[in-house]
Amino acid sequence: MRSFLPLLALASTAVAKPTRSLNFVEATALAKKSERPVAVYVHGSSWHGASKRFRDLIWKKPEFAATLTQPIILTNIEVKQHFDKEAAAKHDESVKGWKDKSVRTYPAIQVYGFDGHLLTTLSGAALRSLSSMDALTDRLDQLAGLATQRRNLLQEATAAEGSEKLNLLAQLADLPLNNEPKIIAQFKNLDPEDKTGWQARLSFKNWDFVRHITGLVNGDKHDEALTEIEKQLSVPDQSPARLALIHGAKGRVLASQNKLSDAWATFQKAHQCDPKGPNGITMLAYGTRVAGVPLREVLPTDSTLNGKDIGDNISRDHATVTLSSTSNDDPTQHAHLFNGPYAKVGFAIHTDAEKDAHGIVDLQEICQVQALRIINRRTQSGRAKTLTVWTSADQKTWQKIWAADKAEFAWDILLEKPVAARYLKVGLKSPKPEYLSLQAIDIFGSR
Amino acid sequence: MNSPRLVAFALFFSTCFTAFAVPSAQDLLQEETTKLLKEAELDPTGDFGTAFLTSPDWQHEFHDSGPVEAPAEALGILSALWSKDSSISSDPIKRGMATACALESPRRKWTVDDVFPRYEFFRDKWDQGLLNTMYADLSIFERRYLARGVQHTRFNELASMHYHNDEVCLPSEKYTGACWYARWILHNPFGDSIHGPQYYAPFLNSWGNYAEIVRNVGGVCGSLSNFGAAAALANGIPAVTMGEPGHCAYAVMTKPGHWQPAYSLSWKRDLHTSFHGGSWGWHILVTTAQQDIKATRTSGDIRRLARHYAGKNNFSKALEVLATARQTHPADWQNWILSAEILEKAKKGLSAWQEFHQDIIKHLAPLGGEVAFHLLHKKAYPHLLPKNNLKDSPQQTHKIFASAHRALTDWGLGRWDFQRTLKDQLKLFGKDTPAQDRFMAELFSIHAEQNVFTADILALQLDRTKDDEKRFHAFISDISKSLAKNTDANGDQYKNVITTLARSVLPKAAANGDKATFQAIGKLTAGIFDKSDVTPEKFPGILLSSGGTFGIQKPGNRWDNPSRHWGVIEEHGGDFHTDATPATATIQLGNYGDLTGVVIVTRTGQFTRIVNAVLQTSINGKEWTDVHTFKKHGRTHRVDLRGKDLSAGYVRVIHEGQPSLHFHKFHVYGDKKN
Repeated sequence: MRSFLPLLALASTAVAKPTRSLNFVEATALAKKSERPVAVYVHGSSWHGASKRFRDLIWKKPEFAATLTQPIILTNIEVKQHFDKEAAAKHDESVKGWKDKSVRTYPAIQVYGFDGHLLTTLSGAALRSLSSMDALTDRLDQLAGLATQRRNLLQEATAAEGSEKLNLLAQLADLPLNNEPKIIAQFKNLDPEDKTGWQARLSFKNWDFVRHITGLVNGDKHDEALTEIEKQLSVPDQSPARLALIHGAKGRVLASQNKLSDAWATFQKAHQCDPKGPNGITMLAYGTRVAGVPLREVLPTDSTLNGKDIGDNISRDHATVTLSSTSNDDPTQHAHLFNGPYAKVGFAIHTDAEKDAHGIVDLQEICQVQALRIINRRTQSGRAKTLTVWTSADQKTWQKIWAADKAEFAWDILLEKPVAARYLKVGLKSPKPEYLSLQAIDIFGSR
Repeated sequence: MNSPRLVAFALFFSTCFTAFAVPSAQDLLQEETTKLLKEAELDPTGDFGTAFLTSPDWQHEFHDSGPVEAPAEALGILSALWSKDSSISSDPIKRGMATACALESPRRKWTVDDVFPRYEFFRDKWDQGLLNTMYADLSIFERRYLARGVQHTRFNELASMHYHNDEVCLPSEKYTGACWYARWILHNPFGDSIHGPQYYAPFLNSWGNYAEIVRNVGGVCGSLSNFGAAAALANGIPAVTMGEPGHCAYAVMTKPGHWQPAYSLSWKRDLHTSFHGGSWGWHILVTTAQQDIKATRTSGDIRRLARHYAGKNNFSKALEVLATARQTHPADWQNWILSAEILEKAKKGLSAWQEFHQDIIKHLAPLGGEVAFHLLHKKAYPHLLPKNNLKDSPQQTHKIFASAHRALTDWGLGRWDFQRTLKDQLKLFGKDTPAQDRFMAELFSIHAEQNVFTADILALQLDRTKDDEKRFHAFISDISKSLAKNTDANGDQYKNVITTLARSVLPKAAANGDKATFQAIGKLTAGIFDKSDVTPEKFPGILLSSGGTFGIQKPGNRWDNPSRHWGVIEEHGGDFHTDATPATATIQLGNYGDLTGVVIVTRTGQFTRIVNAVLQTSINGKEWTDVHTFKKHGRTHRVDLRGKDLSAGYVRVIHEGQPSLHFHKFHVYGDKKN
């Protein structure tokens, strides 16, 4: 049935051309009678020059209406500025049935169905891209065609029953127009178990779904959250943008359970679903912060090492550390120095207060070291203001390769040229005894 | 010759023609400009210097469009803008915008490279017809708001401005609702609070500009108000964001010369783009002074003449000229400041300062007590009040203060912090508490007739005497003499005073949306009326109506006692009785919020009168939406609004069919979203 509809729509063009109507009330009445859509140019020509230009140079031109091929009724609404009460009341009367809040920016073109249902609003940048007569007529013809298609589908659906009706409703919901009123309820009647997935798709609340999942996580209802996510993932034909949200929400749950590897993979999947869309980009950014960075899989967005040729993380899966003193240290935290989330206590290593306090990192073999990222402890960061890094191949001869200018939350260190080394000494050059305590050391280069 | 402006002109020209050594206004303008060009290291005979010097209009625009901070630097920026677009000098609209950009650059610490794209934005959008037509007629002063942008500077980035210009293009008066294009929401979808750094962080690369990010992600009052103001600015409509206690709001110039507060919860506003002073009153003073461009130029001419005299040490002549400026252009703050500067420089004696004091009382105080008292305290009082041991001469201090207070008849330019002024004055009595109390009682007497400032005097004295009930009641006894003449000397004076005060103040405060006064006086009534004993089940959230104002049509009609209005919207309970069709009872909520429900307790009887009344909500108190029609009669009504997604700052019940509504409680519940 669906394939015939465009033909039906086109057939109707042979007998009906656009009609101009003086005002909105008259236009909508005519639309109802003739079962044709209405296109309304809503503008503020008295206070907005471009609106006036658009009206005078395109909308009002006879050749504009002549170029349209679809049977559509054209009218306009002028919204004035600094209306007094009386003028406002008069204006309201002339546009009875029109909702000014449906226009968020001026000018706009609104297309209404024969039944007065608002099908779409073109405004802002979207309308600006149509500010030539050819572009606008093409788009309006396309929308009028869709409106006709919708009218036919509605009429057929009214007469149909059972699976045929369901199929027609699905075609209706699939049209790139505003949702039909009460369509979810109609699907519910015909497809109570939502086998088609339309109820789920039409009622999906986008970012509010993620917000809802966050609420469940905060209420410690992780299983319930995952169940809802899986249910959404099982819905057929979800759009890429929605899939990004659903996968991202899953990543959010996994990250909150400290399953960082799974979370990071899920966030990346979310991004792959919608790599250029806002949902995919957001999920990757969020995932980077809560999973990618703690896993040392990716640098945080504010790292100056981003975009630099620094090789791989060569410390994460190989390095060990030996401290100059250990009475204040908790070796169980050392794992956080090179891998996984940062230590909850705020530091992974902690020496005594001493002159030349340091830790020696063993990369297990001679490597080409190109860069380091060192994360200071969360509090008492000033202790590390003299942080210095030396390299060695044998722990006998040490070469200083970098020294801090001041205490920082994190240091991104890009070496001028790669240094061959197995050992890195990360220590203090403080004139008086001082503690060395750091959260993380990531070393980049090649093995 | 009746017009003050004509007086000023006459004085100016008579001075010019009678004192032969005095240059004309034109010469003085050129002199000031030439001096500034040299200071800015610009060649007066170069291309820019010539263009600038041959245009008196342009020079006036630069010198007389509000205070000029770092003038040489600003002129350097203007010259650099002109170098990039020399059509500036031949097109008044471009010239005006470029001048405004230059004047604002030192305040923003902008270089020409920072400000030129902003100038270009307005220039090009205007050429393309993409700005509101109001833009054409803006003064240079008004353009300074466009040049400066909003407080949250990411909205001032070009990409955001283009977005706002495309996507939030509205009739000027609609920008007061533009803040609601973004959703009010405290936590982002991941649960991060807006008060931390992570709220917007994951979204920063998701859309092309900051305005679009805020629109899609949401925010709270700060983001929303900046969004609304920035939208107006990007469409050529002056707007400004402003801080309020625990809140951020904004204001829009919806019509020429008319500034409308938006999303505002309090009169205590601190504007983020301000000149001289940051309060609303200062804003209205400065914008009023700048309304009449010809007058600002004349005022500037007079100041230049005064400076010319002062430069020649002819201080008396300078002050004579400025005295005329103060009389003819009292809203121009620069005339007052220059007067004080010259008085100080000339080391003038008491009589000159008394003349200055009289001028403040006569010409500035009627405009606005806030600015008048600011000037009196900063400049005049140090020269007029007894120098030593103020506490030893309280009578003289009383007299000087009282003369200024007598000049106040209303709030003038806008509601201001009268209590702060009182506190400043009380300090000048040292530790002489009885003298302070006498002063407060005397002030009450001075202000009793107008009844504008009495609520503040009462509230402050209540606070000062909160630990000394005897002192407060003594005060009440004193002021009762200034109030209702029929106070029963044998009855409860305190109760009578409060009732009398509340009857008069509460309806006015409600009509003006003055929550502070409504609440200050209303709370006093809690102690003299019994609590309502009917307490229906509440809705979730807080009592949003609490802390707000409440008013009806025809308050104080023969069945209504306005002194009982406060309790209606509070837990305490109260009552009211309308007597006009349509019967209307309106609450300005204490907090904007998402509504969960409304509870009404009517009086005991005539229950059917509420039938067919409609419950309405509004964001701004002007455009109302029907949310419920009362179909049943009864004493208690609970209207569940949960799930209706209703945000409101105002709630009312209106009955089109009959004049009488009478409730004991009208409570609105919800989650606040200030």
